[in-house]
Amino acid sequence: MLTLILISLAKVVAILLVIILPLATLLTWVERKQSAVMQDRLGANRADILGLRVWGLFNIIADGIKSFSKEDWVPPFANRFLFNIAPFVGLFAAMVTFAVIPFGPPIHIAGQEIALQVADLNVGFLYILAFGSMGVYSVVLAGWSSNNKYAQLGAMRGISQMISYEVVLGLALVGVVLVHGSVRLPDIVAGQGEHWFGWIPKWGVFTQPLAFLLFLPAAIAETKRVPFDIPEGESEIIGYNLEYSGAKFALFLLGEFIEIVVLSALLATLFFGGWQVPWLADSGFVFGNGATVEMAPLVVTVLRIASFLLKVVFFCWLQLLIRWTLPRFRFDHLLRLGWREMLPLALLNVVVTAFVMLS
Amino acid sequence: MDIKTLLELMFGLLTVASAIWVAFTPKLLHAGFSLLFTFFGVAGLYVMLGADFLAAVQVLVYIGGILVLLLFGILLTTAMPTAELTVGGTRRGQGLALGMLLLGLLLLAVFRAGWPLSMNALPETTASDIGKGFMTTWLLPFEVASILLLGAMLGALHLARRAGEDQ
Amino acid sequence: MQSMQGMQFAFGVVLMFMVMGLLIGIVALTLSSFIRPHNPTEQKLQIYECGEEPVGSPWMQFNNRFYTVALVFILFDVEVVFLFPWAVIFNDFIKQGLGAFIFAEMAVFVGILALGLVYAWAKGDLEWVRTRRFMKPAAARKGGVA
Repeated sequence: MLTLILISLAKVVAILLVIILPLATLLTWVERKQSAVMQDRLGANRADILGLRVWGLFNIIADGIKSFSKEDWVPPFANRFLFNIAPFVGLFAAMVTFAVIPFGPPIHIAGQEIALQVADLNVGFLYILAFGSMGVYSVVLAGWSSNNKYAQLGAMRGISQMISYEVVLGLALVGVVLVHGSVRLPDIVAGQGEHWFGWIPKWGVFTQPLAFLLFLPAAIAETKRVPFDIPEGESEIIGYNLEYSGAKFALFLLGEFIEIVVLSALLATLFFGGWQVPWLADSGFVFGNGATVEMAPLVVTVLRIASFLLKVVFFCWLQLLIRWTLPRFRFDHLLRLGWREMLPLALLNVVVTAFVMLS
Repeated sequence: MDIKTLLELMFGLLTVASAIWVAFTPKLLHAGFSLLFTFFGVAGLYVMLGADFLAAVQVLVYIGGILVLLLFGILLTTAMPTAELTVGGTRRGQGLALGMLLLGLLLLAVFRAGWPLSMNALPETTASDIGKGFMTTWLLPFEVASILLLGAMLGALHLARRAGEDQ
Repeated sequence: MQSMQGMQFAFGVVLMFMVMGLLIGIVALTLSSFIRPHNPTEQKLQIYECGEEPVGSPWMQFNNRFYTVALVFILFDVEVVFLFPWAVIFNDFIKQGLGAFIFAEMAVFVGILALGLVYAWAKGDLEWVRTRRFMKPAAARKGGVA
């Protein structure tokens, strides 16, 4: 029992301190650099240590020190308690989703099977949806407690947008559950390890293409980033977090980047086979024409974890690409897209999937 | 006392304490946020009882849905968020009577349930059992639930539209 | 594959994860409280509206379309919750030859709820700029944006 608890604790710490936080902080730099490249600029490159610049990587440290040494200013007209807990709620909701994502196959150490997943919940899917929906509270709390017109307006738009797209998100997931017949994430990943004709992997993106196309924009809408950044809209209403400064604002920002990482992990897990590598079985590569390449179990495991991380990094990059390519939606367009275009399509996807399975 | 009892007590305490706060705070919005903890505590109790599906649904529907709607309603109404609720004498009496009636109903249900102990092993995945139940034994209530939901939504939409056109 | 203890243990780990996640934020803020200045001035303490003097209360009247959206949301949120257990067992029922049966059952359920969507759609509750007819023509062209 004690070893189990210790192993779990180790996994929790590892996920938080090795995957989520480093990736999220690195993304702050990647975002600046990538946008600069896309706009033909140089981007962050000033911070140096002893003349060493390494493409501006030290800017991450500089940003961290700067935001944490700024005055933490709580407006006197704000509701102090709610104002203070809002950024935590955002960070919490973003981070907690990662607990059910399997980032590798079960490994065996000293005769004990260890799942590379923080918590193997039987209701993993619902858990993701449930805690995804808690992100709304950070917006409500921040907007309401700030006692500022623009913050209020941002909060209103934020809630509307997030709940609208949550429905699409849930319905897209129903399609995935239909295909695999389970709400447990390891089952979903295991199901994606099979192949059609020995060649085409049964990844979610091939079994549920429409669900993927609906899930991606809906999930980006949940992260409240361009083109769905209407709650923040930095050039118009600034948004629900405009009275925040210093470390608390940094927490909001960190929460946003963690959401990117978590969303990438979700996309990889649900639609791109999770830790599966195409044609890689437990014993090594098995191709459709019968050719095999034998491999040691350790190499297979390492390859699989690497494939998961690679997919996560790819989707982080894709999200930043989308963010710097598209303009902002107008609010009525946003609601129309969500309710009148994506929702009927999502319902149709469920019905068609069920019908195809039936016949 | 083992850790399980401790957790159970913790969740129970969280539920009851926040529910009392909901009932007695004069600030409407504080009551709303306090309800969040009540729902969360109930979800924790579901986990302690082995109902993981129900716990997730509790968080998804009550915290992520119904409470958002409630808070939305409060925030949308001008001057409501900062309003202090003052409850007069007769209203207090009515509330007490209604509360007692509800308590009586609940107690009746609790004592009539009989609480049979199942000798069967607990189901491994509650989700599929619930699904089977919906599709076979409880089909009629399941379909009626959709009509109930539809009716509630139509009524609420109608009221919301009326209120909107009055402005 | 899991017993009830296993399930509860998994949730316990999730609880642990939540506590750790919160701790990270708390530690960060506490560390920053040692180095950050505290110097409130009169200008800083004003409501931030780009240097303008704030007019009126932040509690303004919002478009009540926000509320109707939330109402429709609840309906579909609950629908999704009902769909999940159905989706889990669908494959098993097909294998037992009862696929068409439960497909029809769910079609009725979804159909009834889809009526709600059709109603809201037809009545214009899902259109943001429905307020048009209460406005003057000039304002209507710009659209009623909240």
